Amino acid sequence: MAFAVTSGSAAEPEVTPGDRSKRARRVIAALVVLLVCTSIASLAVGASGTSLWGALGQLLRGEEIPQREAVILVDIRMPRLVIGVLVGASLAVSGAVMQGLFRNPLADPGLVGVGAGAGLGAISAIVLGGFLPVALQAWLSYYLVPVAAFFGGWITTILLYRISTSRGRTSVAVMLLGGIAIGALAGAVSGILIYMADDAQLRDLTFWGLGSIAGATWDKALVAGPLIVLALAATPFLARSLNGLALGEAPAAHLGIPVQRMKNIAILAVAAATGAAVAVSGGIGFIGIVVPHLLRLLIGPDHRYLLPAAALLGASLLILADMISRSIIAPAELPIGIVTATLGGPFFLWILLRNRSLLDL
Amino acid sequence: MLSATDIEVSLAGTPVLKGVSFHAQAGHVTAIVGPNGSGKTTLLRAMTGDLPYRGTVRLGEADIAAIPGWQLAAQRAVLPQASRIAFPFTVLEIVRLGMMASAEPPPERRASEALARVGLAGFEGRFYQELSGGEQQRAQLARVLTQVWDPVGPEGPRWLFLDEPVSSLDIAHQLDVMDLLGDYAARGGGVIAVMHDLNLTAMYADAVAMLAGGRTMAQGAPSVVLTDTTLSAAYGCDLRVNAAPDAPATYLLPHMARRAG
Ligand SMILES: Nc1ncnc2c1ncn2[C@@H]1O[C@H](COP(=O)(O)OP(=O)(O)OP(=O)(O)O)[C@@H](O)[C@H]1O
Ligand SMILES: [Mg+2]
Repeated sequence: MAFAVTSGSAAEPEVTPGDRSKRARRVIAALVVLLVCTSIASLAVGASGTSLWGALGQLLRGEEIPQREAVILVDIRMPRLVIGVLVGASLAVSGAVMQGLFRNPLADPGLVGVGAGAGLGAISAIVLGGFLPVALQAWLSYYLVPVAAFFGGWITTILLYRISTSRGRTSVAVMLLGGIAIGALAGAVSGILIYMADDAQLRDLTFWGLGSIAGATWDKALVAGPLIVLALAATPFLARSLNGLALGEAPAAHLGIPVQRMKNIAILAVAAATGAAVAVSGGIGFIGIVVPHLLRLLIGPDHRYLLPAAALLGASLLILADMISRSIIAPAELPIGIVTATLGGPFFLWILLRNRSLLDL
Repeated sequence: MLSATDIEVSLAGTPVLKGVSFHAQAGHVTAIVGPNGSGKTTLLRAMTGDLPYRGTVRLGEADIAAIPGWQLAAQRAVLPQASRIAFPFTVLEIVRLGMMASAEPPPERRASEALARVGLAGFEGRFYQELSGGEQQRAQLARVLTQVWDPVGPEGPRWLFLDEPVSSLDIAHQLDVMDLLGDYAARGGGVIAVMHDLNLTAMYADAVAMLAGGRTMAQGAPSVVLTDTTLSAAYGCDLRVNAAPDAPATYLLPHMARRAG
């Protein structure tokens, strides 16, 4: 197998063979730098030609920043950056947590129907919300969509776990096929709802379904942010338990891990992160499977390092993909989901080919 | 003292254990033997809390069902019959998982000591999934050892529950591991091992429980349990137990005679 060699090099004689924690810390530090750089680039690049440096210079010289520039930087690019970081981190982390929970590197909320379930929740909220009194609609459209997406994701995750796990063993075949069935079912119901949508809702839904963070606003960031931050905050407590779970459910319990409780928390965290991400950005695929896989090759599967590293790399990759989606056909925009699918699809096939043995059904 | 009383377990609607009682003492290696499907693994899993059961299992004075998981994890470690691991962990990372339960972090070198103890010194950097079957079994045993490293802790004796710890090992490593278990017991710990090899059982066990058809057929010292009649009845074929000529009376060799008829 082609996993990176772990023995210590001559430059670092103190490294214990088999102990990848030092390397993992270095990689995490590098990923922090990467995220800072991509964030700055994301603020600096845009269709309007507004210069971040110009504005910063003006700020330092104590001059007024022109109204238009200020609006572009503070009300368009900044919330877009914040949502990009939140969504990228939550997609990558929920992928990694779900893979740990299912003990399988192919489990990804987008792939096994959880994204579709969250999407059904969001679509229900958008379409059925239209039947509510107008006074309620404005308020609800902010809060109802992410919350409904969370419940949609939660129910599908629980369903999927029940279907694919018996006596503490998760069957890959049943998980993937069950995920397809659940996804198709959620898609069908979503289709019926879309049929009921009016023209304005329809346009929203189509763009949203392709995956996009183009409509990012501070309001959206404030609504999705808490769910995502809550989910991410739970992951440090899950990390050690997920490591133990890699041995199997019974051996994890023998190590003193409260398996049932940690599974419930993991499912909630996955649903919250996926639901919030889907609610603000639609179907952005492949981040959740590509990022954890790359990182496992680089620093190993220890979730204490894998989860924070996934959050950082997921955020950076999503910001990069967003920059590509904004600039490739500028001044128009390509939905970001198309960018991640174009880059992530082939990568995912490559992972599949490498892991063919895992798929012996 | 570990005692299981009147244990009944049903799996998929069929009774698998039909009122088994089993006792093991700290300071002893206690072997559970019996034919395939007699319920050895099921009994072990009931005693480690993996399966719902009727009856009581006591560790010392306390009912194990009432001991919180983290506390139990400090008192006993469990080696399952088969283990597959998700994700490419290194051997060192796997062994260190055993130390998760410790209240205070054990010394860094503990994992390497455990690996050396099972004959895997230098395997730290290898990927677990790339080990041979016997090497994987020993790596798992090393993990289990780090969990209850000192045979006696502040709470009293610690316990090893092992499902066929030597079944895929070569003869030299079988003897090594059995020596290790004997040593653990001699230092005050409790060892409960499901065994298929009756020779090793006769050589190393201080007490033997023979299961057959979900019941305890015999329990006691090896010389009491491993007899022609008990073995022949349990396994359904004619078996003879002989004393080895060069080491009289210290161990016994079951010898399979030709099947009559
Ligand atoms: N999950 C299950 N559902 C139904 N029956 C089961 C289940 N697990 C085990 N059994 C049955 O229970 C009986 C006891 O199984 P157990 O695994 O305890 O046997 P064992 O003594 O450990 O055998 P071996 O020597 O082959 O490991 C067997 O007849 C087996 O077929
Ligand atoms: Mg068994």
